[in-house]
Amino acid sequence: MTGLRDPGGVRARPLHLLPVGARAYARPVRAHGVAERSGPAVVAADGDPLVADPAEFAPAHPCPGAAEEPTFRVRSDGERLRLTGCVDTFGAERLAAMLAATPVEGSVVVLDLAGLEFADAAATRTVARWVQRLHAAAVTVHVAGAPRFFVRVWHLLAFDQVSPAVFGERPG
Amino acid sequence: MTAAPAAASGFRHGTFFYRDEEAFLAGLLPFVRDGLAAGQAVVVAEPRPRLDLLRDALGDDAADVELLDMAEIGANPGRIIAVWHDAVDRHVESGRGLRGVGEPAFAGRRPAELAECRLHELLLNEAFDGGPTWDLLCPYDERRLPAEVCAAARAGHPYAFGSAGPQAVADVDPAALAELFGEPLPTPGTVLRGEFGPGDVPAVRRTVAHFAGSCGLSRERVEDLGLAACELATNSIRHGGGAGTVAMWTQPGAAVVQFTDAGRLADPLTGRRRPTLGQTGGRGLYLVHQLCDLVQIRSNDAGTTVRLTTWL
Repeated sequence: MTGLRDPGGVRARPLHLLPVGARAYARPVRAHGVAERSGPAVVAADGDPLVADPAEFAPAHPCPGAAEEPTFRVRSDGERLRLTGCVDTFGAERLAAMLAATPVEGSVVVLDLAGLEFADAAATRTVARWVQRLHAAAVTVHVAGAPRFFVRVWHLLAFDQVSPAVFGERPG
Repeated sequence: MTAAPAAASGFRHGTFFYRDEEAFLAGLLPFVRDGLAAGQAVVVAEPRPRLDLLRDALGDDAADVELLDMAEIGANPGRIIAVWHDAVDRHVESGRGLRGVGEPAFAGRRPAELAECRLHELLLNEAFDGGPTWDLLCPYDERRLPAEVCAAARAGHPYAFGSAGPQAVADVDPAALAELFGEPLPTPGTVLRGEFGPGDVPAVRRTVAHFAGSCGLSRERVEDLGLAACELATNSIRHGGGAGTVAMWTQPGAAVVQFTDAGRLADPLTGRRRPTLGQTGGRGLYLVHQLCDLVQIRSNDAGTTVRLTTWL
């Protein structure tokens, strides 16, 4: 079966952040209503308009995981498609092409999103349109392992009203 | 207050000022009951205490009224127009007719929220003028709201609802919306700021998420802010000149993330109506409005600023 890989993922590069203004400095604080944490934070303490630690956002390590920016991948065994990685607007068109090119067998297919790390509105819409096209061809899509963010965007953008995916594993 | 004249047409958007619960009910009950008697759908969006008050006063009639918690559906005022669009689609387009009550600027709102309520009221005129016939009554608590909020409300509504029904008042200044939408937001103090361009969207998303996490926000809210950041950075790259700036700071009770780019947002209603599946644009800003506690957008010839405030 078709196993496809996105060769053109977005290259990771750190975002350079600089403090602008007079009072950016590192200082450990205890935040109201938040458990005490060690090390610097960007949470305001009493009377402090800003307590920031630029080093925490150092260019070399803007945030965990940025150094190995994942691409996304679609793999299929005919009845189960696995979409893994991160997809945003700039990869949505490629995702649409990959989904369209992936063969689907039978009247039910499972889209496994357990390995989906991120999808923005355009990527989620791409999946919704694919589900809608399959529905028109009498194929039901079960969306399994969908992360919270995917389900949230799906409902907020009301794709559940126009794109009849069944969330959950295929029965049996 | 009497039923709307049969010959009335178009969108009638008006204020109703009250000073206590008695005056609130005296103004709203006839408006609601006249609508029900005429077979119209009645949708009321009020903060919970006002909803309870109205529900008790309506008695059995309350079952026929759609009651919405304004503090929930309008927590971010940028979400409210979509709610009214949905009501118009359901009730006006079907021929039933609609009366709405919406109190976005309820007492207890923060100053930044009240500023967005003012913009929202002006945008309502833009969104529904020239469209189907329906009435929207906007109560204002004259006793508890700042005087300037009430003054702005008077200037932003083409009608005033009183005992004689909706009366046309002075025309809304056609330049008011453009002026407010183009007005710079208050300048923050110290911020962390970074510039981004094509290829940087994942880094922006993760950096904003990291900032949000460092502010003590829950995993879900961190995820929401990261998603909003992705949408806004994408908009800057695609529509704002290919690059932008992200700034982050904290202030008492809030974490703030702000995106700025060189583009101009021509339609101030962008992102305020739920997009269709076939629609190609406008989805990102709509999603941002749904995800964030407060979204403030300002745009003029110098560029566009989108400020996201998350209450701590």
